[in-house]
Amino acid sequence: MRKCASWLAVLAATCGLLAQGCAVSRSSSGAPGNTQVSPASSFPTRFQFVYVIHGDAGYAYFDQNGKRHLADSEAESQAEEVGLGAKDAEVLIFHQRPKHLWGLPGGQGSLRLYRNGRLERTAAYARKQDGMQAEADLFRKYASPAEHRSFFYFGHEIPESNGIPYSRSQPELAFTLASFAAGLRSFAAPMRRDSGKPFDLVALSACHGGTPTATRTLAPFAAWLIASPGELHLTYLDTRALIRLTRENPPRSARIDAGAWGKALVSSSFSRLCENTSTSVTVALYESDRAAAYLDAHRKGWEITASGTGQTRGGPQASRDHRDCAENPGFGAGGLEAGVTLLFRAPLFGPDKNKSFTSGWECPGPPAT
Amino acid sequence: MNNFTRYMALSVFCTLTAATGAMASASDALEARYQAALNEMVQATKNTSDPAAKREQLGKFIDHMAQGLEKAEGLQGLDPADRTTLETLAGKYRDYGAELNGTAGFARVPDGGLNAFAGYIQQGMEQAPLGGGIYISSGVLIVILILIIILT
Repeated sequence: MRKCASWLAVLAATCGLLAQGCAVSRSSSGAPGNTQVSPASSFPTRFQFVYVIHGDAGYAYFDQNGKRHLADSEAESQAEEVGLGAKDAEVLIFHQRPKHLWGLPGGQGSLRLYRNGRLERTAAYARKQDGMQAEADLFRKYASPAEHRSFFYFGHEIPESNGIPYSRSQPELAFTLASFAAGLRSFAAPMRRDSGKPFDLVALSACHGGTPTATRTLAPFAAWLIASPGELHLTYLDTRALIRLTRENPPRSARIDAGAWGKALVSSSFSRLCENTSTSVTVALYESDRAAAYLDAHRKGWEITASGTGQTRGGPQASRDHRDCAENPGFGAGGLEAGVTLLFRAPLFGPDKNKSFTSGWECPGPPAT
Repeated sequence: MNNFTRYMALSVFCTLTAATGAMASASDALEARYQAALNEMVQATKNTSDPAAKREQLGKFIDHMAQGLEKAEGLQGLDPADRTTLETLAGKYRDYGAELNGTAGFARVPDGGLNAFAGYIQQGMEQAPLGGGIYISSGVLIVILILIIILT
């Protein structure tokens, strides 16, 4: 029976390939298409949460009861909960889906826009440009000016350089840390902020987002960053605490402590991940200006390994080791002094089960033995 | 299905794959089968009450994958990056086997930890496609799928 299933998988894959071939020749829809949207209003939004969820790769996982889950769909469901539950908030959820087989119309992405707990707009769109340009275009078209903005990215590790196809159905679309940053810049275009940074918080719900290069690249965009300097299982970050935080929040005139919000998200996500996984759990909150200043002062400890041979991160080779940057000469201890709050639980098994993690950043290279 | 038929089917599949260059749906199907096999391994471990039998089942799966991946490293015409992936995966499975049995400097997985250990293997592989530091290409998935077919 299981042999049968295996051979059926081969057959299905073969059929999929044939179908894909047809899709390439028939796909000609323009962007953005099939929309049910209207022009932007000037809704005075207090909170704005933008979710970009990548779903065009392997995002399936099984829980310990044998139930199959799709991590990107679950991330979208959680974001929808925030959209329905958050007070005085606008929530935009972009879900990047695989390109349709057979060239069916409907696009490869969907947008859901919630305002004050109501679903106000939905749209389907085509992804034909690198990075997050299609999403940024829709954002500029339909999002409202907002007082406090946060950005959440859900996906696999964002490569620091080209080499690995990121989207399975559209491997020609480049996605790297640089194109992610370019996307954030596009989202930031209509910003209205006193702090000079477009977002209070940017979170990468992806593996290996806690590198010095990533922090240094993203620091100009947000006062606070959330990322994982290590593995992050597909059960992902949990942002549902935003519902409570927006409801508990003081009146409009009061200032928001975005760092406290970040800590709440990191803490609830860490607890949830620890419950569900036996692999390592590493989540960090970076105060971006302090972290960037620390990294600038300790460049010797990470720049060489970050650029290195050009093969170590995001390159085409198969295996890439990582280690705590504190193991690099010249990096220093990092941690709280560098504006990093790190929550780490070693894996329950394996060679790293007694590992400690201190600096809050990981660098390329095998761990010291 | 005899071996000749299996390899003919694989050849046809590989030819189609290479000819079209369209890997997305193929990768999804192959990965789904690999994940299903891992899930079967986890559930079989959970559903076995005798610790010795659990350990034997787990050991059989791990050894099969490690040995098969090692053999696959020697295949002619393999992309160098895929060969490195196979080496890495084989190394991971060798480590799993060593920890299961308490060799090569690992503490032996206690009887009470076998279910969790099976889950640890599964989650490690679920993270692998990009996040786990290993890029599992479609070529590697094909090799893994064949191993699973031979295993079951």
